[in-house]
Amino acid sequence: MEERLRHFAVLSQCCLLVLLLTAFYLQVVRSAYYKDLSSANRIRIIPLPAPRGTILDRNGVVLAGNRVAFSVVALPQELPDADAVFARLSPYVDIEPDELKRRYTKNYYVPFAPAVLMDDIKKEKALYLEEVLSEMPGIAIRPSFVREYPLGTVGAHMVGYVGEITAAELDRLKEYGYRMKDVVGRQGIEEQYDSYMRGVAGGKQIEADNRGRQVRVLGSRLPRAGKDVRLTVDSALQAYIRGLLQGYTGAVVVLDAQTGAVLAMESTPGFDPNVFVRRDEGAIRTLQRSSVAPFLNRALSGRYPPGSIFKLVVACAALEKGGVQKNQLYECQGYVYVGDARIRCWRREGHGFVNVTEALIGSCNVYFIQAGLKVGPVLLEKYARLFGFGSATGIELGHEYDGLVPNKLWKRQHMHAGWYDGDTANMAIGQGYIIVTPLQVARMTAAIANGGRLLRPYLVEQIGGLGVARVAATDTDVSQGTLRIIRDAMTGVIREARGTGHTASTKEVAIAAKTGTAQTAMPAKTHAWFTGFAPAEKPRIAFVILIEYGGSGGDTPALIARQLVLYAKEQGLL
Amino acid sequence: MPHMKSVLRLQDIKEIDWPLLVLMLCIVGIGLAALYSASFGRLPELPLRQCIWVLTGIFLFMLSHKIGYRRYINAAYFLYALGILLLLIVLVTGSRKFGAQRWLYVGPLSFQPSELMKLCYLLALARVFSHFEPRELTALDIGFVVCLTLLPMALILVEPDLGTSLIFLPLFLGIFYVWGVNLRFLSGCALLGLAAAPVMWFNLKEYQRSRLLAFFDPNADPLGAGYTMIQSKIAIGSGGLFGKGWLSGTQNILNFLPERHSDFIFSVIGEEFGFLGSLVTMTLFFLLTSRILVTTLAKRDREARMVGAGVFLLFLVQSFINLGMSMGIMPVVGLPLPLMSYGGSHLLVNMVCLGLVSSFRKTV
Repeated sequence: MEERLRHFAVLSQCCLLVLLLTAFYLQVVRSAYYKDLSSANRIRIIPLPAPRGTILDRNGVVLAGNRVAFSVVALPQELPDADAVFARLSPYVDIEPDELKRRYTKNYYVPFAPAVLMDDIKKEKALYLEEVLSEMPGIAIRPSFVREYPLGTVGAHMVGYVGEITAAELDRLKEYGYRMKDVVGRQGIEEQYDSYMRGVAGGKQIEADNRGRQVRVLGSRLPRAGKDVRLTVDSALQAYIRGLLQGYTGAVVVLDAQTGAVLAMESTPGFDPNVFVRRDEGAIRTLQRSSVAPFLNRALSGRYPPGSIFKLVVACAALEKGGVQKNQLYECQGYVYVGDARIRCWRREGHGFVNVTEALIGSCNVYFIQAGLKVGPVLLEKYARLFGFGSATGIELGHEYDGLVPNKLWKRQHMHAGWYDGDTANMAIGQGYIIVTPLQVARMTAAIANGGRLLRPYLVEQIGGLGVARVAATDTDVSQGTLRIIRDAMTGVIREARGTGHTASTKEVAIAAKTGTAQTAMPAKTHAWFTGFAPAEKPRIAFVILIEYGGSGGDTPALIARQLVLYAKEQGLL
Repeated sequence: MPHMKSVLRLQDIKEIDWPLLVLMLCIVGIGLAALYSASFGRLPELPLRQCIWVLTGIFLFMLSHKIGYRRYINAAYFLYALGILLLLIVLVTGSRKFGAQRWLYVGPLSFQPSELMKLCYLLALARVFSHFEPRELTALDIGFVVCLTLLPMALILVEPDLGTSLIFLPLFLGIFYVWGVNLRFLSGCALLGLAAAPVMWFNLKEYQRSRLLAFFDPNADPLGAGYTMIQSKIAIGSGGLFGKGWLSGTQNILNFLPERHSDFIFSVIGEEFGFLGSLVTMTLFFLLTSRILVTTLAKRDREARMVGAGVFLLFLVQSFINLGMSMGIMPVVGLPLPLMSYGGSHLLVNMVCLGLVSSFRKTV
């Protein structure tokens, strides 16, 4: 018996050993792991959103701002009897208690986070409710910031819009500090400058008990507001242009001819970014299903043949390196043979004997086909590229199209055919394979206006009050003499009664311009171009107007240009 | 007052097993500190109530010491019958708490007869074995002892209280072993027990089964059956070497630990006093059981030795299972930590048991 009792001593020693080893393992070896779990148990982070930076025009007019919105929320921690409170709230907000309960359950997240019952109620209603809320414990009015675009459709493509982050975007942006329910920019400046405007969200670290109720606040970090982005755009001009474009499909760009600053950039049809803030599903769906691509910013993503406005480039090439003298005459009989093909001039009776100036004023196809054939495709391509065609302008917006300047190699690769004189003739009058965007045309015109400096168009003047560094202009190396001839001819296009853009002439301002009527795949339907600068003698602005299927460049776009220039003068931009 | 005088005889006080008493009081002291923290700001009346139980318990310790184990053994059958009767009364009239019928109410006091039954069973077993010699055991005798064991087990199992019920098995086997039965018989009993396990399994309540399953994989149902064990492990593990400090255990104060004032009191000790606290607690229990063994061995009386072995096993098994389940190496079966968990019944019974051991040292 004694011996067996002594066995018990061994048993108790074994028990002690097992327990001590287990405790040692848990509390010493694995202690850090369990400490993390214990913290995760009790510490919660409540984010405090940062107000998004605003987008302003050159005069400080708000293009995208923040509005205070009031929402009715339920605070689960302080809601003792949800059903009774909802029943009391119901008559004040005209919502059935069941519906309130449904919204509460749907938006309930954690006990210390408010669940939204009503979004964005009117201010008067919020004030009224605030007075009666004392009898409804757990219900509160919460102010929050909501994005607002005061100008609506004006400049919408450029400004862009915002939306709640999607799962796919979150996957991509998680590393950059984006979280669930964050607001992200979707187009235009909102998208491109999102990282500046979103600011840094703050947070409140709280200690919660086993039911997730807040016990105390451990610490908080205040949110840092996003930076404001100030644009070069004049919103009044922008709005005026929007009005002029009413009913047309097309784009207008107005640049500062000396700096490349974008004064206005419109594209129609457009959209109202506020529908995304309101989450107006019906309106969004209509826009998304529309066949006219309202979200497309035609100013920099639209793809158009340049038509006659390309003759400006051809003229430069001919005078500079093409061996064509400024007074050299070509005869226009209304048509010209290129190989066996007979190409007509737009003027059936012909322009007669014309030099380069007269050819530009009358937009003579025959002259430019003959000059172009003399210059040759290599030089044509070179000058097209010198004036910025075939490559994106590098403006601070996404989705810009590079354009296309064809050459022998390109044709071989894409069309599996050789380059013929017919191709050169087509290119000389801006037809065929060449594709440009309105913004590229505006850049070319600005270069002609400012003495040959190819600028990089820009939209952003300041970020958070600090100026943005500019990219230096590149020189086109076209001689001043040649440019003067071109500018004089463009002045003639408006001033002379025989000029194709005479419709745009006005006594107030001397305008210099070139019209274009670009053939499209659809016969008898042409894109109408009008690009120019003003004042002609001392250019301040360069502009381009494109109307899809707008007929002749001398008609609608010329009228729009005239009003545009007059308004710009009124605004003191000239 | 001649009566009082006889209670406080100097001789008795001298003969008290002082190391045993001191160890007991140390454990009770730590238990009270942990209980104060576990109920802090939540159940402020608990520590005070427990203090009253402790004082009563110390008195009963003295009383048992004075009465002496011999008289207890003489009354063993009567006490056993009383225990069974109380268990039956509980089943018939007892009040339900947490879905179990374990408590008997006497005025404002509640009492768990199953706790008392452990002591009664121990004494009865010692009494029975004192009649036989290990070599002349008949099948009938064995049948009698087995019935003696199974009756209270069955009554407690249907309350239901799985943990307390199962405690009778190691007591039975341990005392059998000490008594001197040959090992072949003992291993036969163990095998029979194993064979009975599947039968037991299908008679368990759903929550008992899920608790046992949760022991094998606590993460299978982290918010259900496995929750307590996971939270207890987090509490103890996060205590680290020196603990988070008294009244500063976040798992404890923020209410992540269920049942921390009763069965899971050790989680609070582990969290707030760290490995150091665990070391002290476990060592104290080891010393207590060792002291019981030493006192028992010093006594040459067979019945005393069997009672001593029973008390030793009661403390060893209960503390090992409880500490083990707090740390996740034993299934959650709902056994209190002796002398530490909140609750009067087991505290009083445990102290009476220690009083009996103390009385081994009396000369007469």
